[in-house]
Amino acid sequence: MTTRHLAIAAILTLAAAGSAAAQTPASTAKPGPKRAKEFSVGAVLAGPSSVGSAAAELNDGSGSPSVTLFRVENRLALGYGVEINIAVELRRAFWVEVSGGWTRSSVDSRITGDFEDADDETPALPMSRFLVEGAVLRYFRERGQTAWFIRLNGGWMRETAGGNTLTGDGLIAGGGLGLRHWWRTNGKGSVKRVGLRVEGRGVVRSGGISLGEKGLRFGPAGAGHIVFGF
Amino acid sequence: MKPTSRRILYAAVVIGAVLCTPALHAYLRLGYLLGGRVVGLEWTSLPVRYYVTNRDITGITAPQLQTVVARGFAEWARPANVSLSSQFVGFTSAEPGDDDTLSVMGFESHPELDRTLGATSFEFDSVTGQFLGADIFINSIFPWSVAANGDSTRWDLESIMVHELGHLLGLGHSALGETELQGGGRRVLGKRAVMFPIAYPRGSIADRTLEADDIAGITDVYGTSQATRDLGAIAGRVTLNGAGVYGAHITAFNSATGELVSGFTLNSQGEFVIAALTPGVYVLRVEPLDDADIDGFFDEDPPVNLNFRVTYHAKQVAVPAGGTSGSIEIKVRSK
Repeated sequence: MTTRHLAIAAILTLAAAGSAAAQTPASTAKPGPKRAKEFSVGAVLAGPSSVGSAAAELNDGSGSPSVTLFRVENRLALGYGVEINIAVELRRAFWVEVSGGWTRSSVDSRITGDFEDADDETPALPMSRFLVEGAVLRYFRERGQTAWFIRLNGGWMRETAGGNTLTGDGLIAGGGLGLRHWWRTNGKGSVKRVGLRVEGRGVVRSGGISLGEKGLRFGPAGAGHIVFGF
Repeated sequence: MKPTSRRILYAAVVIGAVLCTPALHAYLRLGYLLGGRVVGLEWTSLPVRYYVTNRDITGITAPQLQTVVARGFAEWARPANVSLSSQFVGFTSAEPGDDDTLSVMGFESHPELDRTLGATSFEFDSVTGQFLGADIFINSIFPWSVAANGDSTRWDLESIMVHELGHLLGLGHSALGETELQGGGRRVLGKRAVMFPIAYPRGSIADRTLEADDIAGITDVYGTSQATRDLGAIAGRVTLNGAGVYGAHITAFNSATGELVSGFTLNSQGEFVIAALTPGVYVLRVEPLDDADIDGFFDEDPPVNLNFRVTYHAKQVAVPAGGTSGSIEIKVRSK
């Protein structure tokens, strides 16, 4: 396991530990109140991030680069998609969540520095990201129907481009700050509450599509969900 | 009697292409026009059986030349998914260029070819494109070296032999390089193909090792069925004001691997195919053929179009395993 994978694994371990800690007393204590659950569905925006740069080089007689034909900077453009979450309250203000999502974006390759002065160009290629992850949420500063939360997440992703021609699997992790607001709390039936959840995230990716040097990729993301409380 | 044809083809040169009488329609893969269709040249019967002329030159013996030829063949057989073999038959008094359907490699003195390090000629069945025999001469007017790490005062025999063996196996010249005019010839600024027509300076041993462009070429000709499944191709057209561009040089760059592989538009419709590519996403760059003498690549008819600007394709191209990119059109502009 590489160093960069450790941080992601630590987050997942945290989620697992939280779950285990919650289950241990449940096996010895009297049955407690029914745990709250939430289902949310919404939209996500994935901010632009680098997927590596490269140079097309020609070599001299020693085998060393002597002519840079052109340079390419590859970026994932701003993407959009959908995400669903299922969350369970382990104890007051502390939740675990599993999520699945799909994001549509494009790989933009900015070509510059042509050896023969060709115009710069930025060809693009549509791409998709499929994501499965786990997260822990901690709510705080609850005021009426509104509460802030922090969220730490980690999971697995698959990125595809060019009609699945290019596929890369990887790990993804991140943290975010969000706000949840219930606008309906007196529901009858199984849906007790309905609200809105918005959050901003910082994301770090390892693996996935890479069109240049390897390494961690950082980028922003945002999400807005309709939340159903059970 | 089979209809055969003998052509002197290509030369690795010092400061310019001189010996080029290519009656063949060439690109990455050698071929010729027959009844309006291009027939590719290749060895259909393997191993390639060859002789070495029993003549030493200063500092290099015929057995040393044979060792170099064997290493050169081994380099072309090295890429995964290439099915290729050769067999040394023996030393001979026959000369390269004799009309005997034998494949003979040897030193010959050609002072009139004072820029030509070596050249390949061959006989082939002009209906099927099957090679019948092929010869390589190395011009003994130049100083040669077989030193393991090269000799800065001499030309590396193995590097030039690898290039000539590429022709012998059916590859034409690659244009994957940049040059500058110097002293009536051209000097290599940089290249990424053994099959580039102009050699590195004395002492360089870089051309002993195939580049991605060479590997794609040899795989295109002698690839296994596994290559067909694992590799892909880009096909498309280059157009100028809606009309096809003949002789445009297209370079495909895979920024994930750093590989550069190139090809040419080969007809007046401006159509091209770059085969045996690693699956992935490619940037395409189109340029006029301006870094070597055109007759080292093409016949003069139809004329090669040089009057357009270097251009990148506006989209990236995805190459699938075992398939071809959707047909693309790269629009270039006049200079």
